Amino acid sequence: MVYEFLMAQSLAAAMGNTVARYNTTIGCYVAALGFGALLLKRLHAVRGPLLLAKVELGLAALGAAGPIAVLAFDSYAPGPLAPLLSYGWIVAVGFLSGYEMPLVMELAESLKPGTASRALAWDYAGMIVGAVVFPLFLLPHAGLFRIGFVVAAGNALLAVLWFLKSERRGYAVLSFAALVLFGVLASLEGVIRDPLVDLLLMGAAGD
Amino acid sequence: MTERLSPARARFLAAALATASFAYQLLIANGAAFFSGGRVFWHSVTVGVYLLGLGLGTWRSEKIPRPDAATTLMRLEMRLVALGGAAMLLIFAAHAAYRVWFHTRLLDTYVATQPNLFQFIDARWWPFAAFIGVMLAITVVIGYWTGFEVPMLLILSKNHEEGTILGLNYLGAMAATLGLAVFLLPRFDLVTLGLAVGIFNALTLLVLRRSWKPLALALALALALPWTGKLLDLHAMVFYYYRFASLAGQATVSERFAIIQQRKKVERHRSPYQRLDIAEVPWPGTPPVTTLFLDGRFQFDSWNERFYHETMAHLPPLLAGTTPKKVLVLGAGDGLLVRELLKFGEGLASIKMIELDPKMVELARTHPALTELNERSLDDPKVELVVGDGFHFVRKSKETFDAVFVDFPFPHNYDTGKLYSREFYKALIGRLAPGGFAVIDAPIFSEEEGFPALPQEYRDVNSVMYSTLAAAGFKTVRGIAANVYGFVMAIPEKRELALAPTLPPGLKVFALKGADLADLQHQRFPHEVAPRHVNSIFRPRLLDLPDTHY
Repeated sequence: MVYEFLMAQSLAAAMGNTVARYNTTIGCYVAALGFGALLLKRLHAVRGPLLLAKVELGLAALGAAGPIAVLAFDSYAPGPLAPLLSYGWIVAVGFLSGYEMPLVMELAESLKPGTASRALAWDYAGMIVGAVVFPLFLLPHAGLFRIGFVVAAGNALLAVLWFLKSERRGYAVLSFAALVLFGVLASLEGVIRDPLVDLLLMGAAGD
Repeated sequence: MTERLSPARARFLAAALATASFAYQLLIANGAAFFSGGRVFWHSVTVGVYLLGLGLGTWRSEKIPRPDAATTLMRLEMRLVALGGAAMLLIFAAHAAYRVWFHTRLLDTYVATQPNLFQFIDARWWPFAAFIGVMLAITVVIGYWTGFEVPMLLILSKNHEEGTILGLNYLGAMAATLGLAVFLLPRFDLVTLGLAVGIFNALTLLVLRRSWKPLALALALALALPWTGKLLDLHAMVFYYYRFASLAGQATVSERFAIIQQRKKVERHRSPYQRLDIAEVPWPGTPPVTTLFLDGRFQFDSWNERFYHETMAHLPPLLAGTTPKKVLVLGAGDGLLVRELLKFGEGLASIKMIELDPKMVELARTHPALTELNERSLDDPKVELVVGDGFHFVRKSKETFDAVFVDFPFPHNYDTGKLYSREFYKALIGRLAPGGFAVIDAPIFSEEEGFPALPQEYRDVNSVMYSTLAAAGFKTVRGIAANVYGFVMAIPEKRELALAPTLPPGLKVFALKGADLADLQHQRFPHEVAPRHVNSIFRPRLLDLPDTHY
């Protein structure tokens, strides 16, 4: 939910605050969420913690870079390609997020039968954080990119732990590198935010 | 043996029940925005309370024995239809009643954006707290019952259907979001939509069980449909006319209702962007005043607007000592500011105007009360009207202007906050020709000599405006107060502005007087310029204050 909000905020800055933009963003995201959940089984015969770890790593990368990518596309991608790329990015994040809940519920069910709905309840608790704590308390005090980097670092940390547990060294090292990168970017955000925004938003204005 | 639904039925219910439940929640969140003028705080609280209920319901659903799943789902859905369908009706009725009964100690979400414990100890707050309590209680209960849906459907469907059920659940949520935002909210009121969603929800239950009970409930909700118009008319009149404390001293509740109903009905228009209400507001000792409200927020009234628009249009050129030739106007679709700008006369070559809401433009051009006020300014040959997003225009355009007048809704949520951001103002500088200036309608507050010092929260709002404009690159920033309203004049270069100019003799203004200009030198706008006050899209500062007009 936080990734989605971050990208919506960026997209509004890039494409303007039209009803069409707002609806297509939400529509694309939620539809991708649905198709992700629906297609999970067809696309992946083998699921379990390893797939979840890969999803987390992918989400970390796509989610953290999302707001920046959306701005960059609008300023630098040629004409009609910009919205295509932006919405493509949103669909990708939505699709991967759609994997999360069915995977977690399956995992919960396999560990202890009858606990799938408990996982769902925790998902709603997470949504409260995304929908209430984030806009009211987090956003006014931390920068938008920083929040993205911190959430991505959290995703990467989970990925590191799962990959270590399933003894996938290569992936674990990759996730650890991502964790360090997001940590560094988060701590530098206050310094790089304004120049980055100016470069992305104003750089190629008027094309 | 646990009862099972056929896959087709389980899937249909997963999508349809999610559509209905999401629609209830969206309508309540819209209602919260309705009563609070679109403030982030109350919207977030409503969504949070709903999700809390959802989580508790899902948690609790584990206790339901598997064989009882179908019965439980049916029972809870019936309750959901009744409460969810009637929720908006109950909330609007409760709101009207609260305002009539407690009008002598009226407080509303307009004041209560940042409630604290001490205020709630104050007895004046109890009626308000009670109303909010009713609204939130309905919300949490709807969430709680909804929380059972997915777990019960998972039990009723074939094993290992998590992905399918959740996926269809998400698609149902999408249908509700898009359907409401695109087709329904711009056309229908919240109460009617609530009843309609309830009826839809009741009919879907026939897929779960063949029973006459959902049909009876649907019928009951349908019987309420013809009354929604009356309820909303009454609510709108109470909402706008009781805000002005002009009816104080009316003895009984029934007398208060009777007096309200003698007033002119509030005229309501809808667009995908906002709700536009035109009311004839009663003030003691004067004929009713035509007033425009956008999403329940005051925009202007026919009594005060001249002073404000005359000041905003004519003062900046006097302070700068130049009359702009090429003018850009962002927002201000009512045409009142443009009416004043056209008085620049021969010197003025063109006005380009960017307005987001075509409905606002349509009203400004055709509504008799508005065309009388704006003197059909939007049809003037010098005016070029573009329906579009102002931010997008200033960022993408290469045109430059001698003056830009910015008249956007105040930044009470993150969407409108973007129009007061460092990024927006930076793009705005790009649209100014050398020597050009920007005039921005903004929440700023003056401290007058001989009056108490400005409270800290108002100082902070000033600081946000001054710091953000400075961070964007404006070197000259001048606050101007006209009555209780304020606006800002900003110039990219460092420039000395006249302290208190005099009115040129030929200018036809009605409300603005020479003495008002002399007052300018006594206005101070206490503020501090610091990076922490800068409002950026990428680190927003909300300027959430009660409406200054009342």
